[in-house]
Amino acid sequence: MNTDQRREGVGRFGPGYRFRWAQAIIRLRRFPIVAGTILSLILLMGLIGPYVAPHDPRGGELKDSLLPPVWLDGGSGEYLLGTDRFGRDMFSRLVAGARISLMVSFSTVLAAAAIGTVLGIAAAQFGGIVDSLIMRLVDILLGFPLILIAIVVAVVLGPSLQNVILLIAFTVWGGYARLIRGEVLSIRERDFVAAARICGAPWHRIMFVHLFPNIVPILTVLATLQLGNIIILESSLSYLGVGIPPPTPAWGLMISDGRDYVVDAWWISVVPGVAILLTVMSMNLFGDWLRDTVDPFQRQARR
Amino acid sequence: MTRLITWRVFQAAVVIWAVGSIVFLLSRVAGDPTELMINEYYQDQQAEADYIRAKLGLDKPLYQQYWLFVRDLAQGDLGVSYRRGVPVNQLIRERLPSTLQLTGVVFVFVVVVGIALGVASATSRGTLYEPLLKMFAVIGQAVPNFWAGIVGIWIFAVILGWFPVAGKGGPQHYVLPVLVLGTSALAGMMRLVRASMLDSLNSEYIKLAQAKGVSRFKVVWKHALRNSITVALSYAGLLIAGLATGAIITETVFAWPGIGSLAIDSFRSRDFPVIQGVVIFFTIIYVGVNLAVDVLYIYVDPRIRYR
Repeated sequence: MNTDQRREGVGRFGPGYRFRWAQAIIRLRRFPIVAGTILSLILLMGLIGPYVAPHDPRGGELKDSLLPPVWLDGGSGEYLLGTDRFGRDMFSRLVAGARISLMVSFSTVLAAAAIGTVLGIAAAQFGGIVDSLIMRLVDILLGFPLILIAIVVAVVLGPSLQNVILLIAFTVWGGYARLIRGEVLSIRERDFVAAARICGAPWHRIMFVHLFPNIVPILTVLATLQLGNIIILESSLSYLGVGIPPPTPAWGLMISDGRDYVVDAWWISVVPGVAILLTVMSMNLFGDWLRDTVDPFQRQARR
Repeated sequence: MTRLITWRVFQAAVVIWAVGSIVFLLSRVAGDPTELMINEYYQDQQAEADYIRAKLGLDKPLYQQYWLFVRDLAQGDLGVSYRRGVPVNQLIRERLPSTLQLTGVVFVFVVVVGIALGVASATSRGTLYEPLLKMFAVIGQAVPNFWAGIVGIWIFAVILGWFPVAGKGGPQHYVLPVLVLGTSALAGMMRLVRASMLDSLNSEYIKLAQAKGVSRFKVVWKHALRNSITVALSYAGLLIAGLATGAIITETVFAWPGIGSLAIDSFRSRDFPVIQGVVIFFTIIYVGVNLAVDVLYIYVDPRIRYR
């Protein structure tokens, strides 16, 4: 077996993948530094936030309600970003909210990727009616107004953190199924798969040992690009009251709390919104960078 | 071709039936609504409850209720509100014009401005506009639109006083809701048209047109855009479904008296028939629009017709 064949057989990150320093440095130079920094700060907030928050994010002093942030008249160093109508510290709630947003987005992406991978592989492997049924379902679900399902679920089962995660996962898995199906169909035609088949490997071994590792990089890219969308979806649901129930410090809920106080206490709505904006923007930029790094072909096609 | 369209229509009907059935089953899981409706001052509570159950058909076995539901659905009857005692159809009919006016304006805004900006950004490579348009696309994707609405109210209604805070009225009432509902869709439309225009502008027939001496304007807006219009068309289809979702949020933020705020009001008062009716109504819109786009595609793109 000559070198070319071996390299062809192992995909983008297999043992035959040659790491090239020059290319790696060029890629690193394009790393979005600002976005990366913001993202690591938010991840840090999510990890250690609840232990360093100066106040209880769920309870407050009513006498301290609607205090402005420290840089405005009447603000104090005790409440850096002010307080909401129940006198809860905005900064503590913001920090605690980072954990909620990250938890929802990461677990949703994991769940959606799991469902999508299994069904995508099933669609590619079995073809025929299974394939058309699954892909038709994907077509319908991907565009279906999630909020409608969320309202029905919230009425029937009541709003909760788990329901939000399951609900969003249920509507976004289609993207993964579509991607995996396409990748499986194209990789399956390659020589190393044919070789495995000739050696008598059963289909599930071919799927999970030979095909799946080749899909992981592109799967990671899609997952990263989806994290931000899911944060926006979750905050919209929470804003409407069909997502995460109060008094959990979710960013969407905080914005909704401030809706009626825009005139007197604008910071209640504005501050968590800025947090969402920065988080989602950094996640998207990071995802773009990851896609360009993992899949240089797409970059060339895109420009 | 007729067979293809018939098949699509059948699929659309199946989706509406499936969504309707799921919502029906969930509504029965949600519990007995009679408690919500009994007047506390009524003497004989049990008789009252029985009367309401009989009136709503809740005393019949489940399969009969389901049959009645499917029969009514097929006739376009969405039931009666628990809270308001009014047919859901009537509620939707009252609210529909407001929602249509808002989403209609947004739709035109997104399609016209989105295509224009997309073309502009595809042809403005290397100019000053490009980074601006790119920045707009990056931020537009990351802003939750309900928050943009609140910030818009804060800046333009509370601080500057240019536009009203909420509600429906003259043209100035439309500015903020339209911008809020339209911005993220605008960014999406712009990106798609841009990508597709870049492809089109690179192709051989454009070089031919240029070589023949066709003016730059005509090459861009006629030859290239014409090929990119299918992309815009299919996105416009998705857009209508997305606007349905967006309308729920935007109408809630701006207290706009449309179907979206009807859905949220009914959610807050646990008025299940209205929720069910709105969900089915939006499903019909969503499925109908997708069907229309599919059929349009068959006409616009000959490759599908002859497959």
